Amino acid sequence: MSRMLRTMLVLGVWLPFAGTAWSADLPRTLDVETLRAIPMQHDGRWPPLDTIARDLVEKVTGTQFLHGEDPVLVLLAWTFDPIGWTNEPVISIGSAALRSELELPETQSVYSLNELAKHRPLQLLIAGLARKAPGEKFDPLESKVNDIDDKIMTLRQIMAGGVLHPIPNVGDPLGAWGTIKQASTAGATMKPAIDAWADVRTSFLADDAAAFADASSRFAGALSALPAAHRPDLGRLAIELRYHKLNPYRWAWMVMVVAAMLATVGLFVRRSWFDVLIGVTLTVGFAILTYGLWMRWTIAGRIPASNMFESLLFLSWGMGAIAILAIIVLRHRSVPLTAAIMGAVSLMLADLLPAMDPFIRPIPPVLADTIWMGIHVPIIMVSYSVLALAVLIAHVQVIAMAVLPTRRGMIARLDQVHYWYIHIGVILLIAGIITGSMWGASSWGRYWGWDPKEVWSLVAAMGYLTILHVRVDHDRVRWWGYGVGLLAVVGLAAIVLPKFADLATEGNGKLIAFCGAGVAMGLFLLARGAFATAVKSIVAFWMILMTYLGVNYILGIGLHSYGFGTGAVAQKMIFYGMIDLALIAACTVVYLLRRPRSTTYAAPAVSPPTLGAAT
Amino acid sequence: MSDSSNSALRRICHTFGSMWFAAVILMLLLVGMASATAGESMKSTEWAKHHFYDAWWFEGLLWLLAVNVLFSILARLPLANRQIGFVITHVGILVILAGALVTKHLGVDGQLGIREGQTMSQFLDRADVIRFIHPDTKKERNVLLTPSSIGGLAPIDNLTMAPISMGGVKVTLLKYAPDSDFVQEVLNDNRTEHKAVEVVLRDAQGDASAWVFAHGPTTIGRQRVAYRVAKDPVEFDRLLTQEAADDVDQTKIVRIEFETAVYELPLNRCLKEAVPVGKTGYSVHVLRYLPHATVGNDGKLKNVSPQPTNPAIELELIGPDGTQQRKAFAKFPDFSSMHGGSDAAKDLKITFLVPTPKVNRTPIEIIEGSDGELHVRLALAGSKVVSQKLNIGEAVNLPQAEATLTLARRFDHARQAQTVQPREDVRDKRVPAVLVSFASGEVRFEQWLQKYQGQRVVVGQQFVELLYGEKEAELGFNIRLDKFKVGRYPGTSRPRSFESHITLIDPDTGSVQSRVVSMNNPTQFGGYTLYQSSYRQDGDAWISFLSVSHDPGRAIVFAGYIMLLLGMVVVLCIRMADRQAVDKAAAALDERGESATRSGSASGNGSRAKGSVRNKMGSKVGAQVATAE
Repeated sequence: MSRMLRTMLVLGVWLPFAGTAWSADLPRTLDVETLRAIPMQHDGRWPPLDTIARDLVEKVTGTQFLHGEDPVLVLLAWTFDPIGWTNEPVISIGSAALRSELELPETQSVYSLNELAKHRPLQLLIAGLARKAPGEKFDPLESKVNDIDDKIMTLRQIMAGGVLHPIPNVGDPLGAWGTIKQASTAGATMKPAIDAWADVRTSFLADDAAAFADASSRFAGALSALPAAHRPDLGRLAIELRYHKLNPYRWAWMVMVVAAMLATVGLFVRRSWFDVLIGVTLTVGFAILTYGLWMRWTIAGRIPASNMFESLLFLSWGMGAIAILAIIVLRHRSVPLTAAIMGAVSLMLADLLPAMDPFIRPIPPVLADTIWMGIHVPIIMVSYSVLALAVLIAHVQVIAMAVLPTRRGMIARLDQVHYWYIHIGVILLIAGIITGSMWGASSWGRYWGWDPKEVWSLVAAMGYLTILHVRVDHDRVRWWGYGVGLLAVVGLAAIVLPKFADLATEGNGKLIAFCGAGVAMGLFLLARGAFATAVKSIVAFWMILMTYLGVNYILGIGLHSYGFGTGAVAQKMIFYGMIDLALIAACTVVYLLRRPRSTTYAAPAVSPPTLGAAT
Repeated sequence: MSDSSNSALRRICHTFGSMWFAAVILMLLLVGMASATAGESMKSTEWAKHHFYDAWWFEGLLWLLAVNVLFSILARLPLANRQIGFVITHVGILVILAGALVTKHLGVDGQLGIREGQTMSQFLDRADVIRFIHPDTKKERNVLLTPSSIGGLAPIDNLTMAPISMGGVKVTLLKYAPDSDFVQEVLNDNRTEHKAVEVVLRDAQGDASAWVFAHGPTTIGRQRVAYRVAKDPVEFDRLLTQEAADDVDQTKIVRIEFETAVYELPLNRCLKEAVPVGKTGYSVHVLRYLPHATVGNDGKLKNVSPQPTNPAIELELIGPDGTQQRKAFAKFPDFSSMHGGSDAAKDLKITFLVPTPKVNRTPIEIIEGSDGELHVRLALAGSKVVSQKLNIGEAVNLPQAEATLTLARRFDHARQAQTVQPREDVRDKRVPAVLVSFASGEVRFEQWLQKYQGQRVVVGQQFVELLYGEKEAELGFNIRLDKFKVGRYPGTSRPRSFESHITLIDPDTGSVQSRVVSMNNPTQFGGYTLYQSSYRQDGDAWISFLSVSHDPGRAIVFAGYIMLLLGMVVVLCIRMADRQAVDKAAAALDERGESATRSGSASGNGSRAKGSVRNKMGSKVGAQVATAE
């Protein structure tokens, strides 16, 4: 497994660099473990150099392992040999469209600092960014140019020795730590550290292992001898080193992928010992993930629930947790299968999507110093997990009812599992909304403020509540009841539509949106069979996705937009939404065409309503 | 109550408390809220609040929801034990809605901006008021504006408010505009003469118009236009024909006239040394150059600015009859003869020449002759100049710009007036305004008053002071901001915390308490809860903004939350128990079925049969549960 991992990693990083020259060589004999563990101030914390190197190398090159090399070695090379590295291709511009827009050579995708700094079209665009009014938004090209500018600036700063802050602050425990350069003007106490660092540099450039080891340990010793108002906890540093070395999330999703494959096989094997094997594998993946979360929690000193990456971890964790409970309670083979698939997918998204930032960052004041983050976020993420499991089951159910309408037993059991997931999910979702409301009351002074995130979470909850109510609604509504309902719908349309009359929308977007809303309302209100419930659950889950991603990425408004992402996510959401819609539409057509021959899947026939009379 | 009326009531309860109605209302709320967020993204938060969340129909839907939930409970009376979860859940919803109603009507949600070191006893209550300050007594009087209408996004054309009399002036509010702007207007009512022309430039991109004042050029579209008034025909000719001035010799000259001869010496040379004046035997040495000379209290000259407003020199005239001091003013060439000096060398006249600054010619100039006629002078390429007469309303071709110029209006007593005017397209950060009518005796006029702009309005012989702002409410205690701190992540500029260190003083009990209000850590005092809302730096001092809230509805809402959650969990537990009962029944059926088939080997078939039985049972019990609820 470890070899496979390494091969994958090396392949993964090598691919974008294929065909580029690599002339500056890294020292091969040095042992950087001493330096790797030295704590320095970075991004509001005191991580070991290892973390800083991973962060900075990823920031510049887009990957932690440039050419598969140790990031600490790469960072030291940039620091010690700036001139040699200004001509090395390290900054990757992957998109050919962007390259041609910037008039960069077509044949090349990775560029050196020098090439980019001298490239006039790029520099003109960068200069244009500075002229933007404060607060003005970047267009897509500008934000890409800004990214490249950030990479150039970071690399320049590294080469100027401005990113490593190992010199402790004497007076203020929360004060800024100094760079080696700043220390060189600070007097005699700094001399051992500065001299040792100079020796580290010399021996690094000479690739002299013995001298390097000696200089490194002298440097570490000199730093720890300096007076400091605060020093990071050594145990925590060790955990952080282990955390990055292990990469627990990658292990966890790999184990979950194995569990998912086993669970697929398990559908045909149908042996209880095999089910136990599946359960154990899933539990192992879950345990690794839990261990990773615990490490991250310890390192950050707060619950890891502050950004998209961390919430995906909780999403996966919630699926594991619910699945382990559900395996015991529901005893159905779809439970471990769906949990393993969804758990692995959300972890893979966190681990592999380039937009995800795996590093521990400062969190805004509203998230800091409150127990509510630790209550609200896990609850809401677990509720998303359960509903995500439900939506997967719903897809299976929809496809099964269209393709295998004769497998009534299987369909009925899927329907049951789906129902339990929705029921539990909606309780957790409402618990999440309620805890969020209480958090809002304690930080903003109001328990409800019609913030878009709040509103969409309520929209999704109402969607699910409608499903649950309509599902068990066997009361025959009087004709005038339908009439009043229809009137209300028409009334709302009459009120809402004119408000959007003056909004220009591209093409027929508005028409499509309102037709879609109308169809969805009709579906939610009038269709009540098992098939319809599954379809509605899929639609409702898109409301969850809208809450989770859309409010930030599509609407881009509100107090909960903590500043991540650009338009690409919105396009992807629409793209996958369309695929999903097409799939459901196809299944619905097939299902409806085949239905006359088999009419009994709709929610089981019920005796005539005897409401009110106690059963 | 008779049976039939009872059953009719039941029927009404059934229909209005039906799940069908619940679903309809939920769907309408859902679509309404989704549209609101879309609108918020495209327009503004306030727009969404005005058209959706605060709209009458939205509140109506919430009322309908309450009615629906209430009737759904009533329809199930008398309640069975197993419906306990259902009742707790739905009563919880009613409690939440009731709490929200209490918050809406009894809650106070204000703001307090406080500077470091400042003590305050009032906060802004987010209700619009007009505050009158009596001109003599300085007593304030607040008139609360109808909270539901004024302050919103909808303009109001007929405010029905009783007129307010203050200091002999009758003040009436006429209209409300959600957004307003300062508009620059040029009026022809200046008491002193002030010439200006309104010029319209028309080119391929459309019309652009602006007022050009006689004191300086203006840019209209992409053209610079100037307006000059000639004092006499000579200047008029010069202005009309003079080409873009070439480099005039800018040196300042000391001119000496002696016995018909004229000697001109550059100032710079005379400043350095005594310069002989030809063969006259005199030398001139300039001691001081004063660009802006004035006569001080001691009668001596002093310089007050480097601008060449009143250029003057003090010089020594060294001659056969000794050395004497003289002054010369560029603007008053006859000064020395007027004030004499000593008798010595009185035939020697010294003047100071400062070249008039180069007339910076503008490409398009409108020139008024002493006869009052207007001409336009165009500087073309190659320092060529053309001019023609300009009449109001006539278009003049501008060959260099492919445009035409039209004179629209011409004022001799122009005054730039700033007036407030309502805006039709409401902006994100809008400034509301009210149209106020002032009347005192015969005098009567209307004027827009912008929010937060205090005004002193003169009405005939009287005047009033008024301010359109927010209501100030008493806290009932004093609050002092001792310090505001922004905590930062170590070594970065990223904020980690915002902390207001405040002292709360209760004047009744005299108790003094120090508290810290920070994000996520509100503090309670005197019935109010204070939250850290935002902050601003003003010079050296911080201004901290605290939310001031008093919300009797919150506890009710939270109680509703707990009931809702508890009820839902109870429902889930009952359903799960039902399910287990079904499973047991199915297992019992299974055994019977197995003994009936007698072939235990066909496990596949067996499990399928088991599944279908379980399904049937499940659906039946499920249906019963549903029916019960």
